[in-house]
Amino acid sequence: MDEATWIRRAQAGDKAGFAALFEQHRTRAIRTAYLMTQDRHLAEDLTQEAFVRAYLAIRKCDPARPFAPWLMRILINLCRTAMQRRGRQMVVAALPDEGASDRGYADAEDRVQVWGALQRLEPVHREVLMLRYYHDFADAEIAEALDIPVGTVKSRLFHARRHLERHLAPEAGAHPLSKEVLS
Amino acid sequence: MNEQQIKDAFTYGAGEITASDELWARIEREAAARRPAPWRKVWLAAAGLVLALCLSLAASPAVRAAAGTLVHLFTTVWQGQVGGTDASVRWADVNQREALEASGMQFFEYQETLVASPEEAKARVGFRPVLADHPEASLEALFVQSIGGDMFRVAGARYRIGGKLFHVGTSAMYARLQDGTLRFLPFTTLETTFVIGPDRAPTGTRTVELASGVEAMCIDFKQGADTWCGWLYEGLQVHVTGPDAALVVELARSAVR
Repeated sequence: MDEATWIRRAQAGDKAGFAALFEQHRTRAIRTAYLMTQDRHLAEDLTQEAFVRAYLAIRKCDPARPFAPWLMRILINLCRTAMQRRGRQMVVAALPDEGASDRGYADAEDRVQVWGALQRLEPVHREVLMLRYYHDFADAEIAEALDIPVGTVKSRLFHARRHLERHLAPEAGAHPLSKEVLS
Repeated sequence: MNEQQIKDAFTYGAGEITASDELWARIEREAAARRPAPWRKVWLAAAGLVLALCLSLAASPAVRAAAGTLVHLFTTVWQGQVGGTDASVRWADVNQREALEASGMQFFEYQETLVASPEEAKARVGFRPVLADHPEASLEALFVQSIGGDMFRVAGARYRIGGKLFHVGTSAMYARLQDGTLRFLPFTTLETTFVIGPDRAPTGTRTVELASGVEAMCIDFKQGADTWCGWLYEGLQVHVTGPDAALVVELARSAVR
């Protein structure tokens, strides 16, 4: 069964329809919240709240469009609000445990460097990169998730890449990102 | 070694966390608790009838004139309450934004909380916008920005009228005082993008005199045969003509309560 059918079923009051949407998006949602807050418990609370709000407002979701950007819009706004309440715009977290995420990367050092640089970005820049590269959203989907015009998405992506490049530059005399990717 | 590196970095940063097994049960419980009870729907329907009656009354010229007086009174009272502010306002067409950003201008970023319902918005900020000229309009969403503590900013409202969506910018800030009342606050600095619907294009600006010595900038919008006007007044962006008139009235009432 496709996502549009699940959305329509949820809109008709079928709990199983929304449960299917939850199952499909739960992991990506909590990891998104974790990326934004770097707090595991807060991420779970915010994910719960986002799904509750999505559940109650499911009639406003357009079945003709992907569910993820709509859900992400709710979740990202919740994360922003939570971070504002905590009085910090940016979290610099401890690096994840390498042993817990042993996925056979050829160059773990690159991964750590780029993640460190991403954490030094402004939240608006990190968000737009997260939606593009972690979620593989198209420009229009990012625009929907962030409630901004597509033109602004392109502009933010451009500036985000440029800032990322700057953050990588000092340690990346030979860092491939700074020369090959971020143009 | 290209975009994949950024993907890998995010995947690395997100780690391997997963939602707990009880999450779905908690969502079900929470959603059930928040769903309006049937009796509440009856109350809402009754309130809707009363509102429709008020709107039809508001359509009469005499009531409109009274509303205009109220707005003027509100601006006067508000100025008195917050006298001495040096509010500054900069306005930019959304289409100019990128160019202005490139020139180094910083913009206020909307970071709205999308509330699930007008009722929730009302509960959070204590007012309910209505559109006097369009009783058929439905409030699709109200954007409320939490700015820390018990302070909220009403960033905008989205209406559906005749199948079209309209996004109305409303710049108002409230603080909830210890006694539970809402206090209307001024902006000391406001750099905002005037948010307009896709089919509303600004046609120009003009400065007008509202009353002796009181000036406001008016931004005209052309939409079909109608001209809308958004006003920027002492850092407060309000709408006093077109379908938003009642919104200002509601803001005014909130301010003087």
